[in-house]
Amino acid sequence: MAENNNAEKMFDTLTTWMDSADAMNLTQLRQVRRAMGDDVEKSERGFLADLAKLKAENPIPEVQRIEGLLVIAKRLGLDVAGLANQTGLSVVLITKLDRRLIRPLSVPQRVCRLLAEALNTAVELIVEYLQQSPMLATEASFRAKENPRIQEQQDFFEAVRSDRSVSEERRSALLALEEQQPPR
Amino acid sequence: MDKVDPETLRLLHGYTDEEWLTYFNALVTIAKRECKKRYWRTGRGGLLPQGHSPETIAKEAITRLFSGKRTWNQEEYPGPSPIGILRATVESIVGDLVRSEDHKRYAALAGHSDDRESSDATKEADKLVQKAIGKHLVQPALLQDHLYEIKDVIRRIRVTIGDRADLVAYFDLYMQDLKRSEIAQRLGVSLDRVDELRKQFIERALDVYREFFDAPQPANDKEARLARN
Repeated sequence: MAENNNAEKMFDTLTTWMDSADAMNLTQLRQVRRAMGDDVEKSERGFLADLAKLKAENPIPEVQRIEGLLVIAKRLGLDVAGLANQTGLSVVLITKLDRRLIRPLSVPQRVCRLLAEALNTAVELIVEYLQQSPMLATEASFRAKENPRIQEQQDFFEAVRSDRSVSEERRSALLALEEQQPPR
Repeated sequence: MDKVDPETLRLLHGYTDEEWLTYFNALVTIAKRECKKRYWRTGRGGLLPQGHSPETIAKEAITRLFSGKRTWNQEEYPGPSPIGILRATVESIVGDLVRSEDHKRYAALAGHSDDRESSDATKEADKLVQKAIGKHLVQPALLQDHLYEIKDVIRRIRVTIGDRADLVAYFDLYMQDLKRSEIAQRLGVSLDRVDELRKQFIERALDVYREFFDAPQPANDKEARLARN
């Protein structure tokens, strides 16, 4: 057994440089492979052909984006009030979320899930939508004399507290989610 | 169909052909060593099962990363280079091949199922071989052959580089498993010089390594042994 261990240990040491092949450059590697009897040109040609096939079969996924919460809702026959009712939010909160005036990290996962269910889409797409830059109010953009300014994003729970249109029952339910939020 | 992480795909599509060729050639070299090491130990004929070769193993590792069969955990293998996860995949594939062969070979040691995690493959194969040695399924004389063979390789390397005292000195320290910095200290040279010696040693000794890697395995059956003796 000692001899076996000894032989293995000697094998390991003798071939350590091969194990460090990932530190060699392409020229060195080609030289090593050629000297070890490999047809490197043929091997590389075959590999590049296989690689091209792999890339074609596994393309980079296109970033899917949803056009807007209310755009999808409308397509599904829902108005802003209907979407608010389905998700347990309010018209004000839905509008703010649609315009991305809420800080994305403050939006509870449950709210994203409810929106995804109501809009028949993936939660990831809702999250991705909320993470984009805040949207200008369409009306403000042509009424004001000054350049339109983007409103600062608000914390979701601040928005819930300051929303006078939301019922007390919904407010309590939404604020209860604050305890489940990870520290920000 | 396994789900591929989009970020992984973005990275895999981002490497240049030259980078890919570097990874590929490095993986083939690593796979060559892994295969020789594991098969050499068991005295098997050297042919890999299922039509595999170090090259197909390297390709398979890359395919697994593209297809999502192997997930690139960035915590375990951080950074933009895929070589860490790919070399681990190569080792895992070789381990699986050896394990499947050992199961067939040492059927007498039944009781080992094939549905283990691949990360256990190496340990599992080791256990099987050790048990086989214990039960004399691998002849003790074979172990002696290994030692002779490896000592012969070392002797031939010394002959090959014999005209260069600096390479012989480097090789002796290399065979003591010393680190680069330790070799530099012992030889009284810079780290760059150690790298240069290492490069020159590899270039000079490659023929001996090729012969060693191409050589038929020591036979593991009594008839062949008797015929040889």
